[in-house]
Amino acid sequence: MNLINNSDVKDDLFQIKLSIETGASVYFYSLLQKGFFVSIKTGISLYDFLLKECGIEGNYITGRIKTVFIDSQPVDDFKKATLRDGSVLSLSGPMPGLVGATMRAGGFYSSFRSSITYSEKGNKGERGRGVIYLKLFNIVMTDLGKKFLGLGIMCKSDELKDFFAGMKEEFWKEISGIEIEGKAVGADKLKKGQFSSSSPLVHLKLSFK
Amino acid sequence: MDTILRIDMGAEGGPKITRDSLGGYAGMAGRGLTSSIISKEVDPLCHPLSAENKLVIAPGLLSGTAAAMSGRLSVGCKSPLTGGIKEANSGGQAAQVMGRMGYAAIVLEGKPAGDDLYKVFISKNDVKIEKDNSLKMMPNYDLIEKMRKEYGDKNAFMSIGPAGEMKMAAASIACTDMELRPTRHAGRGGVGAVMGVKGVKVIIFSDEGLKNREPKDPDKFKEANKTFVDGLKKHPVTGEGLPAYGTNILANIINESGGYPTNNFQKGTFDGTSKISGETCAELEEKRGGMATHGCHRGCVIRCSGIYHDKNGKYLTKQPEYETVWAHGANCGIDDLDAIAMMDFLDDNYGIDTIEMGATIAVAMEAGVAKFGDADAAIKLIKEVGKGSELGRVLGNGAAVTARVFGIERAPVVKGQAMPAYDPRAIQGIGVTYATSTMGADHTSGYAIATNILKVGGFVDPLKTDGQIDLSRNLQVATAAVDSTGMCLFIAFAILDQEDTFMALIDLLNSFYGMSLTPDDVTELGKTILKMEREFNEKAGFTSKHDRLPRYFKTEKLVPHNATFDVKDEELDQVFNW
Repeated sequence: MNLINNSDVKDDLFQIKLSIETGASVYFYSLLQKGFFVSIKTGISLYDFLLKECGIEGNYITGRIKTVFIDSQPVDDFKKATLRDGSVLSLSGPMPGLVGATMRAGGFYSSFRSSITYSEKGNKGERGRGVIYLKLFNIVMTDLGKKFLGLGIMCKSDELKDFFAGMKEEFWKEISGIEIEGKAVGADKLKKGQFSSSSPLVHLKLSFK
Repeated sequence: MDTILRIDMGAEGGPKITRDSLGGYAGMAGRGLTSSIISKEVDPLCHPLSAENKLVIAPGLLSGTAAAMSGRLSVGCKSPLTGGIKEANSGGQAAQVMGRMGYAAIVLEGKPAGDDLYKVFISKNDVKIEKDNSLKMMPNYDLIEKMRKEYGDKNAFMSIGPAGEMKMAAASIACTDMELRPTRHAGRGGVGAVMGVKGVKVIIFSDEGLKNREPKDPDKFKEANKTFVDGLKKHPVTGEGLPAYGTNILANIINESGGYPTNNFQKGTFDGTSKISGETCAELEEKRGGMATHGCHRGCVIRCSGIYHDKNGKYLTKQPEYETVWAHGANCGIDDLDAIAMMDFLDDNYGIDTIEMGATIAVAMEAGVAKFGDADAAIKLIKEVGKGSELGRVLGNGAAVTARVFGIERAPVVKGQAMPAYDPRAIQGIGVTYATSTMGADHTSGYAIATNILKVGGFVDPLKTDGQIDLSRNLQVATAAVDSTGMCLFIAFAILDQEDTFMALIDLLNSFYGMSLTPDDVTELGKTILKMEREFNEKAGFTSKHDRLPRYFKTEKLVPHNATFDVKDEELDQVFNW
């Protein structure tokens, strides 16, 4: 799935940094659900990506991340599944219902969805850097959202502009500092979408108080 | 809970009441009892809207006790929608009150000669049936408000809206929740139409002077309940995910799987899912002063429901369920949560099954009656149903009828009942259940319970495609058993993962009744129920040809997987071959 071109991901991406109250990460849940871009080492296993590149503890990976999709295919074995440039990865906790249980990684009812189950095709692609599109849902969103926002996420510039334009005053009260490209600015710059990036992507990083 | 209250609404001289002991139905409750009574006492060839049909209302084995999660109610009949046997299940308070009264079932029989409407008041020592034609065509919310003024608040209420009075095949029966709102519904299969045929508008269950039913072994019961509750609270599904986000926690996930039916099952993903997801709904509810977690009955510790306020912070409806959000949302191309919530309110108010209504609107959209994505038009269509206009009467009789009237091939129904919110081309196993369930297309009839603990049907290799047939059978057996306990089906996730939580459920039953049930007994109960239901359906004229999905699911590829439903007919015919 090609949501962006690899050439759009530059080392010197347009940077927005926010200093924000800890509890205000909830305002970003819509972005986390919709998805954001993350730079990865291509050909890496899903498990290693979560453990080594994202710094998520092994116990959490096996104990809480119970429903995973790569490119709309439910994943059973995190150590065998490979992330490639352009992969769409979704992470979730365990789900209710028969179909929810069916989607569970390595679940007993996985045969119900065997025709769409992720299977590793073997060609891990060229080793290098690439970009995946990551979505976080439900308890994984609330558990890991702050971590990813703290590490920094890449979003499409126009989507981020829409996001900030839609925020009410209660959101802006939670923000104590804004930097655009290393310079301190007022909230109006974001409220009115007064930032322009030469790349379609913007790097957004949050610093929590 | 050993009395069956029978009300013959067609008796000469007016409705007649009799009380029977359970007799040959001893040991049965919930779905076990509704299916037993229907299969024994209703001619499978009768017309569902005739005097021969019966409406059976039965709480579960543990309803009316202090057991957590035990407030589910079963409502059974011959279905006006499918023509087969039906059990519709509801939360709310009615099961608890009925259980405390000692009624194993209430059976509405016969059919009044004229078109008078009745209210039925049931208390510990009395049953009063009165004509009240002032209630005609009253929507559920107005009706309950009136009943509260007349009878007070220490009651549980069951009622039909205008849809049930008009005998529409998508009509539901509403049960009031803890706040006495008509938000929980025995939704599927037109059970509301049967209550309408019986001329009963509302049943008032008085909770005055009632106490919880006492277990035979109170100490063991208390211990089992504690283990059960602890198990539910520690499990991430029942202790975190469901309370935080409700059943609509599934929206994002099913969408990711490519199995989220969109625009009348044309596609498997919907672009607007994040706008209508459980996560988004919970955030909105909190912001507007509603509640993101709320139980539908006393004793519920999962609290997967919620309360949805409108933009002005006023109550609009209960938190819409996953199925409702899907049916009125993605399946109709609508990504506006406020519009979906309004449609949920209207469905509850008119007394309509939200799954059937959403599927019907989508068929109507495909027919050009409205455009996909037009929320205002969808709301207007539901209002047509409530009014009983010519168009409304077509729509109120479900997706299959609507498709026929408008000349649409693509009606996603099995045995006349609309499919719920999972596309069987992406999730083939759910398709097996849709096709073979005795209830028509139904997502809850084959629910997940600890088949690995029950070892129902032996070990199943979950990686093999043909494991789906065995799994579907096992799950249908297990679900039929759980539906007899009065327990909410959502206990299944904790039971699936935690053997001690499953055993706690068995211990609850054993300590309450002084029995020594084993997991095998639970299995046998499930099989017995399914056998009864299958036999009824066969006598009603159903054959293996009815255990099929609509043909287009085998030929029309579903994006993004380009999948079709590939399970062979011969395999489907093996589901009930125990």
